[in-house]
Amino acid sequence: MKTAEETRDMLLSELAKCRACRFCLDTCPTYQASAGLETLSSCGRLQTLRYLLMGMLRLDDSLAYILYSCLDCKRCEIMCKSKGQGLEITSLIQMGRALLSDRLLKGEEG
Amino acid sequence: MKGSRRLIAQALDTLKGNMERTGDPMGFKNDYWTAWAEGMGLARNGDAVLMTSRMYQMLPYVMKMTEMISKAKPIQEIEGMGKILSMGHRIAGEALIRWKAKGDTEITERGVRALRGAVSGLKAVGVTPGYLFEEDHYSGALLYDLGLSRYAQHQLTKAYETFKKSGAKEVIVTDPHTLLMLREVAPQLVGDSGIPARHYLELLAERKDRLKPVAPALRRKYVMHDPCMMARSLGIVDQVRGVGASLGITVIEPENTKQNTMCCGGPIEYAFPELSRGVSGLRIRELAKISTDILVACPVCLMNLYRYEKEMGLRVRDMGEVLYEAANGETPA
Amino acid sequence: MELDVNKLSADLGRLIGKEYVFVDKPTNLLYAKDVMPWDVEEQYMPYAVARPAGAGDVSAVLRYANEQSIPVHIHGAGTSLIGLARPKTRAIVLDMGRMTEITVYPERGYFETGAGAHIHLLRKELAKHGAMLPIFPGSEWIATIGGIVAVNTSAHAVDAALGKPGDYVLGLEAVLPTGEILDTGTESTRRPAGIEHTKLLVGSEGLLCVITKLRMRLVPLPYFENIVAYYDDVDDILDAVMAMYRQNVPPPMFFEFLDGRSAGIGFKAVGLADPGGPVGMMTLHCWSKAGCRDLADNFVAFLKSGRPREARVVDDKQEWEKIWGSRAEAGNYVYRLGSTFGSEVSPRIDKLKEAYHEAKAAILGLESYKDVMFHAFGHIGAPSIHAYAFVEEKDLPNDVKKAIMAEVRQKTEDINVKYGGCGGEWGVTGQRVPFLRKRYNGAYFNLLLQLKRTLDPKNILNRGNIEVAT
Repeated sequence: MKTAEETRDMLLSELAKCRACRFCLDTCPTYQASAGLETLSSCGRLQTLRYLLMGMLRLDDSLAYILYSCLDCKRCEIMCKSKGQGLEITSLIQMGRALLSDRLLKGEEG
Repeated sequence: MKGSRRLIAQALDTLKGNMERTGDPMGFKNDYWTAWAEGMGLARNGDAVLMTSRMYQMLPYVMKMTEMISKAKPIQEIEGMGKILSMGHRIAGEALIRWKAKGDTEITERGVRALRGAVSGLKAVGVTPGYLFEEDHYSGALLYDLGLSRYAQHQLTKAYETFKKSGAKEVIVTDPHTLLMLREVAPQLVGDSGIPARHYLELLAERKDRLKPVAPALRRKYVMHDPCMMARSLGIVDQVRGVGASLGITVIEPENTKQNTMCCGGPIEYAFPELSRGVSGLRIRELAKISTDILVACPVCLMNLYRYEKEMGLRVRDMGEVLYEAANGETPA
Repeated sequence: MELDVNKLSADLGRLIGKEYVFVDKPTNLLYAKDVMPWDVEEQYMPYAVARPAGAGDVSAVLRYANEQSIPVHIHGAGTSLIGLARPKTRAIVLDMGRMTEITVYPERGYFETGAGAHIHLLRKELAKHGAMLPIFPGSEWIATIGGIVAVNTSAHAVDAALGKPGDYVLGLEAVLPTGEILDTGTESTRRPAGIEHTKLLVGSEGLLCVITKLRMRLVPLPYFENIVAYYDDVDDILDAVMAMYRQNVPPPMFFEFLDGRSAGIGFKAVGLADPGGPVGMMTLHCWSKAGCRDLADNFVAFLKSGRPREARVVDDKQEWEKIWGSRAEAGNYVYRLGSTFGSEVSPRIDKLKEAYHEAKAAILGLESYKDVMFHAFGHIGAPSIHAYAFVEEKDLPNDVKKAIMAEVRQKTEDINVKYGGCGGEWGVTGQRVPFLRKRYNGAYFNLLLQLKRTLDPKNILNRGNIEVAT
């Protein structure tokens, strides 16, 4: 398994590929269920994770809700692939959770 | 949203603690997951062994815990209360949840029927699997999803050891989450076990000409709800339909079907039940417009969609339950 | 401007419901993030995101914003390619995402839609009634009808064939920056003549109003025919476009092209052989099947009077899907594998060739970054030259990206100025304000400012998208 540092670097490199085109939004069940709240979408989760790893966001309630409410259903990946980006969105979110879960278990805030 | 960080931290801590103490995500000590197999005469080993990963068996307890978390949420949001609740859960948790879940006989029985139906189906096509009983380990699916990869790795390692010990040449699973763990995640975390895993429906589909149609009264028209894991992650789509056709049931496709299937909302129900219900509500309304008979092939989907049966006058059946009915006649409403 | 965010949240919550107001940083950040390739900066982080249900809510928020002198920035889908969606100052972001209801009235000849409805869903709904949505943005998977009409973008279509979205708008429900709600236009399928507010507000780029609802004419779904033409040189395609207008040939609704490099990339990605040169792709439409075929055959004959290696109607649906799909793949390539800086040059049609080559030279001669590659593809028949500077590097610093974008913008806009064009897709404010000032005389720009000041005296709405001194 990768170290936390390796995972973070890999994630930042992959997450930079997300252009926030938002084409995946309508595919996301939580986006649909939240009457179109963009934060609860695949794109929202990727951008949130990216800015967290860049240090602009904190691991707070909002962030935990956003990242742990992904259904891992992969509907977004079908759209992303069809549009030529092909990001493995749910894997990236799962890797992000792996980084965060350690911090949450340690009770780290921020 | 408020209290989400604490909620997730506690969920992770509880899961981790349960796994460390008992090796079971519910933290239960006794083997609640073996009762379904009573009287089936399954051997403890064989060329093919069944791994349920306790998924169907956990359903009543997961439902009860989710309900309790939901009710406890306002208390959890109070600073400091979360930790007390978490400790309380450890002390009183198992007994409390078992007691509370006792009343949920319906979902318990449905899980039993789904598993027994899967075995009936396998027997009908000439496969009598062994069953791992107490060593039917949890695959670690939720642990992996939540980022507790080390614990998932530990579970998969245990599973591999059990398979080898049993002398199995093949593992047959009864749910897509477990299959994904064995097929995709385990090779990354543990390496290749050399023992292939298949979903029982894949096996049935290969030998579907040996399946007998169900009684005429049971040849229903079901609208298909493909599980996300099954259709998108594993590419298992035609098998359900092939088996269904051999059983004499009609499968109707909704708009969002096969690789385009919509999620049932299950994976986040433990933490965000409101959002989960929003998702399952969208899906059930889409399905109900087409048919009042809905076919699923996953315990998580079963749990999330069957709760709409009474409210919307629907009949939600797991494929395992359809196979059970094929062998034993119609189950009462 | 520092604000008590808790008070803001409570105030907005009282106006539109607290479950529809967000002040958490992740939400604020995401709604400030558009498709521009540079990151959101702290100094432009929104104060809050408000999600109104309709005109009443929007009106309440705008009135409050005026009272408190807090800017408001409209968020449709965040896909503007000239940065219209990115707040230029700290602001309340107004998310139009709840206004998505679509009602089709076949007996009235029109449909009504919330401004937040996504184009692809709207198209799907209209198709159930045998109607076409005559609007084709590349971003249709998320672009909102409100945003499309606010910019009045003909997107990928040839204006001369389909017109602009505003041509189909019968009326609007809109909220002025000071909170007044207007109902404009007509319920007849005959659009009003004369000085009428729909015309003022369509294309106003979120500066003069917030569009909350639209009424648009139902257009019957036509027949389509598709044509592909292979060329040895881009000049041959440019000549074909110019000849089409010169000879008054009925234009196709789509007239796309890929330059040689883009065609190679796109065709390979869809599993077709490299065409070995630039490719033209056209779609014609007609409400008669025979008529459509006739138009297509005539257009092929017209193309053959030029210099294609091959030009033919494509009857094989699968083949067409691949050919048409190669456009998207060419685009995906430049967006996926590096940093891309685009332009929109829509010159006077007889200057198309000069404009194209000058755009190419401008891109290849950038001072802000050496080693750029030039790609060109898009709606050449509109006419629209999308000349792209492509850098094979994703991790450029923010300031480098901004410098490249500014230079590409300035140099290609100079071509628009030189050849009398204005663009037809992206709007004219945001990053195109310098162009606007250069292209038109002072009176033109001042009139725009006056309009803005008159309707938005405190410069509340989309502040920073046009320079207004308050």
